[in-house]
Amino acid sequence: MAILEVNNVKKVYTTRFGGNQVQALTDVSFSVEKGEYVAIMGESGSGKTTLLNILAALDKATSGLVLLNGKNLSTLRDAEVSTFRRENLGFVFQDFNLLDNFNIQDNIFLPLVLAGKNYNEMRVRLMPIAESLGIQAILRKYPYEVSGGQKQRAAVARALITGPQLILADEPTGALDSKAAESLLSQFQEINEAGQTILMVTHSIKAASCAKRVLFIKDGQVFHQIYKGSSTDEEMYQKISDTLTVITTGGGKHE
Amino acid sequence: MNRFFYGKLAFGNLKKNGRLYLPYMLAAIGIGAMFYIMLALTADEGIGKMPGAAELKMIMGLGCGVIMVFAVIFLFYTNSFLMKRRKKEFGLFHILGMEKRHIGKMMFWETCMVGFISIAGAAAAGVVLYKLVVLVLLRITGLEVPFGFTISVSGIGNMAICFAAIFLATMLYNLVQVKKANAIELLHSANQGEKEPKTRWFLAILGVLALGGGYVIAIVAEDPLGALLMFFVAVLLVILGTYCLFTAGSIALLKIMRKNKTYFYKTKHFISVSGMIYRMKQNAVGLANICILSTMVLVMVSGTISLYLGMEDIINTQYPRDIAITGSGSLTDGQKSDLKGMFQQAAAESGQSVEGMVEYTTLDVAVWKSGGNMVIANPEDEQPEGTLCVLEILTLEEYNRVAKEPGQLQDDEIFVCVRQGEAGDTSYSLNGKNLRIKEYLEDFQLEGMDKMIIYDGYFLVVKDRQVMQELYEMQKAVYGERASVETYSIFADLSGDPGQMERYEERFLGLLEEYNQTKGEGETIAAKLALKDERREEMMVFCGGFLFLGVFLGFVFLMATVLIIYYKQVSEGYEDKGRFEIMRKVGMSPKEVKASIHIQIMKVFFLPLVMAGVHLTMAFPMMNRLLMLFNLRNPGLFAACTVVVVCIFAGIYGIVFGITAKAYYQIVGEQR
Repeated sequence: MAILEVNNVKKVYTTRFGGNQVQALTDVSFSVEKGEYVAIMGESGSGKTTLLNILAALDKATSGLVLLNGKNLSTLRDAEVSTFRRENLGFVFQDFNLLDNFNIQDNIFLPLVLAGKNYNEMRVRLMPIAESLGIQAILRKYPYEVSGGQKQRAAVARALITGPQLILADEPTGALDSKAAESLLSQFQEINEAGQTILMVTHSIKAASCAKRVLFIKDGQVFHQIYKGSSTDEEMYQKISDTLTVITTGGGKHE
Repeated sequence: MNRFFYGKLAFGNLKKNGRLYLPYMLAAIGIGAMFYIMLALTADEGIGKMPGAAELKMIMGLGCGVIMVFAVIFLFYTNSFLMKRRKKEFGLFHILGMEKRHIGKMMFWETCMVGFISIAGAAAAGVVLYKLVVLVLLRITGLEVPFGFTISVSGIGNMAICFAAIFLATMLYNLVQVKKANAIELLHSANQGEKEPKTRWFLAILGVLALGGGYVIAIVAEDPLGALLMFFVAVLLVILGTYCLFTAGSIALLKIMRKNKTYFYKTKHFISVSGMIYRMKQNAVGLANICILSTMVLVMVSGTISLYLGMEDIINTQYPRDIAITGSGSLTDGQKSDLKGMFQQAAAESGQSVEGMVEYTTLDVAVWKSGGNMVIANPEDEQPEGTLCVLEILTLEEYNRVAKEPGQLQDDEIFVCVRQGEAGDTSYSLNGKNLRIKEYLEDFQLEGMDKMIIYDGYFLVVKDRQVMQELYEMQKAVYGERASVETYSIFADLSGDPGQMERYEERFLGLLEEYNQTKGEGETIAAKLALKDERREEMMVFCGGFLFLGVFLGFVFLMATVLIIYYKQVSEGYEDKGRFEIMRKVGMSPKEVKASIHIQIMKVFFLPLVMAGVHLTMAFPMMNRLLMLFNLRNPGLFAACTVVVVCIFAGIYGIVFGITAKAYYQIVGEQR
């Protein structure tokens, strides 16, 4: 069953003085099944971030339909949006977005506190997640005291703790060194294997090659997709990089 | 060409940072204008010619000094705010290829512009407001002087020089700041990862102790004259305590709150408590400043207003009647009746009738009282035990003349009426002389004798002049030259108008002089005449001057408070912007964001006001005793004044808060 369905989504920005119209998304359609791990690739300006903002309910599509778990995002009332996002979505950002006035543990608790959960329940939820991400030792530390990789793992824990339907990751490895990036990606794979649906936006081939499926966006449209199937990460890496070569050199549809 | 460029650049910068610079300049203009007004008042020729001008000038001189010191502190403080916000901009200029000397040049032009606008604005505002201020001053002091529209050139000059010097100093300070920093530092100074503040228990406890100590002194200190000294000790302790508590105490308290898991992990506490831990680190001193300034404004304004409103009370206690004549020294009965005769003659010759005349002969003796034991002692030689109090002694004969029911006394018996102090002793031993207390008198009034009960006071009725004389000798032996003498007082109302009063005064003094010329050595009368109306005028200048200064300085401090609040809001807005952006992404609705911002800033900005209220409550008993030094004994009036002043202040504070909170929301809500 599809957890996320995106049908013919179009997004047009109007510049500030109403003059020019910029078409960020022309016509995007795809769907994500429960338990999938999907990467969306594309160059800067291809519309990746716009798409992610629409999926995150931070922005609304000009036309088209986005269904999350059967719920139409565009019909959500303003008052419901935040609660809906809190309950159904987990976010991982490129620049971590941890609050520097909370320690790691409190940062992870933030969405639960907003949801009005009590402390004991939060502790119970946190323990297995912290263990699997290997961050028990730094729970009491502050964001400025830990490394980038640790910050990102804390952010992943924050995304997981609400038990979301879908995790949206925006360039999660963008600000990490290669070692930290690698360990984060393998954690993503573990999480996915445990049943978590993940949608990741990236332009790192390395990151995308860990996903089970890769969608390519060009000029506001889904241009192509590759399934990993039984390929290894290395084979997948090769496939992706071939596809990108074709896309950038301007070939037609490639299969 | 080059000069033109920097000037233009500087102008552009000021315009771009209008949100920061406009209030800064407005405040400078305000303080400058007030400074000019004070200077002009001190130099005003019209005021110089008025009676009581000397006191008024002294009061104004005091005001000048306070405003001057305040202007320096205040402009530096706000300047540091501005610099903090603009460091990033300077860093950018530096990276774009400006050398530090170019930045210096640019800053020079900025300071020139700000300085010029501020000083010119201050002069203009000062000149315009001066007339109004003078009218207010004349109204409340009751002085009447024709005033033209004067401009004090020396006032403008002095003000301009002082403020130019302050602006120059701030610029030098800024230049040093920029010189010390490197470009990268400048660029990132706004968002360095900040460490969580440590709990400084020592300071927190010190703060509690200092504050407690100050409060205890304020409440307990009994002796009103000592109160003046202790007042300063208490003020210093409270200021120290306030700073310690705001800096260390607040953080300790917040951390305790954070330790309480069930309290802390609630949406509204979660964000506001942890936000405040950080906020307090940067703003504790600013908040403590606000708190202390507010307390000062409240104390000053409510004190001076009650003094002004209670003036009539003060006059009435000291001068129950239109006229008071006091003859000092042991006057014979003959001399007394001569004096009375002169008084009546002068009244008749000025065409007035005398009403409600009373007369007494009294002796006041200062003693150290501890229980029933009283010591007359010279504190220069020994430090006696007990509290200093004043015994107002009169004879039974005098007493029976005014009292409703005449009494009888034996040689060693006395009646006592406690004016202020303790009742309950059965006898007094005065330097070894025993006096049995036959009765405590409940409602015994000696008009005009309640005058200066700064100390505890007792009326003592003794059997006759012989006993009185004995007591006189006793204190004469100890105090020598400075011993007090018997006083013969006449109080009376006269029917005439002010012109007749004037003639009366002239006539009486003339008669007295004639009388004394006809008498030989040792038979002259040393007497003083006090007219209530004259005293009232003097008092009005004095109290009115204080009121004026109180309200005037109150305004200056209020302005400072307002500006500090504004800058806090703005600078915090910039800092919190990123934080709330993240919370929104993580799943907090804009409404929740707004609510939690609201709670947080409410807590932070009303804390100083609440604290000032507590300070004021605790200072109340002491303020009351200080007002007693000015002979105002009306706690009800003072309480009412305080409450009204607090309400008005809270109102203004609330409005300012509302306006600045709006600026804050705008900043936080700005999209990217």
